[in-house]
Amino acid sequence: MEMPYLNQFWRRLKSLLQSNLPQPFSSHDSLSLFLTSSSFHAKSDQRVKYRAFLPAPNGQLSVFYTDNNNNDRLRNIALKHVHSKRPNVNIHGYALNIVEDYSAHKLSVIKSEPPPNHVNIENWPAEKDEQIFIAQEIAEKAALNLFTNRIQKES
Amino acid sequence: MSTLAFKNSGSGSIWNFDQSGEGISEYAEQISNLLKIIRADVKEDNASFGFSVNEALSELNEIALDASIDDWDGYGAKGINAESYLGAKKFINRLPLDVEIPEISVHPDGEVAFDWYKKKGFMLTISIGSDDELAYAYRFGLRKNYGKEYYGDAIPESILAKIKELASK
Repeated sequence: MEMPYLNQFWRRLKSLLQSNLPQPFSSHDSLSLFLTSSSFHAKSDQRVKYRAFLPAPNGQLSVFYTDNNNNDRLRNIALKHVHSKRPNVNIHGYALNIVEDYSAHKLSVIKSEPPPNHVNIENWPAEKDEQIFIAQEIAEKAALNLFTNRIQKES
Repeated sequence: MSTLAFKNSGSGSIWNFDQSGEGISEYAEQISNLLKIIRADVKEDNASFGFSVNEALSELNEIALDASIDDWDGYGAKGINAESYLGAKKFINRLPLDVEIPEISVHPDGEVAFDWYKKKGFMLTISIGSDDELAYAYRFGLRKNYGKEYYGDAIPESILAKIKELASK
């Protein structure tokens, strides 16, 4: 007999028990957004562009909790958890923000594992102009970190 | 800039040509050539310090192709919205030629957007929605805001004023 709900429950419980994510998040915890398009950053003036922070059509922005991580470890996270699921995009690096950059705009920082340390930014306003405005504000506070060798998409 | 060269009409100006009939077609041809050169120069100048319609339209088409299918960004983005694409074409054609060329992109919701970025803390974004709706957001230093405007035959003055204000910063 199949018990999909029980399996799902068990997986969630397991991930909850194994999670390293702090509960609740502190305002200075680091969150990284992997940059999957060259149009998400400007190399010349080392900035992340606002459009990297616009929510997906499902109303979520996907980031990772990355406290105490260096570039190499973040590259591994990108390879293991982003590239494996989205092989059709390049990953150039990541934008580093803190929880407060999001929560200051009444956005919710919601733990969403698996994959490990994955977090969704939710509760975006419905209006497009306000979304752009918030994305501009977050982008202004973001630090750009590019990988020495970008993670190449699979052709 | 191209160099203009005229045949000497004998009186020092191409406008003082012989009215007798002979030579009129020759001068008409010179004027026609002159207009061609001016048009080419205007286009050249636009490309160097202002807005080139052709350049922007070709960039829009390139971006539209990249975002023509759903999930083009790997995060579930919608393919480019046809109404927004047509609205963007209209927007490009109605932008004054003396404004800075904007960066064009497609947002995850499929809408085309125009971005002007001057320096840190100074930027303006206009997203072209369906039904001629423009959603904008800007930061001009400490002044920042967002809102919506509708445009039919012309880009709203308030939007043009913001584009020009950013350029002056």
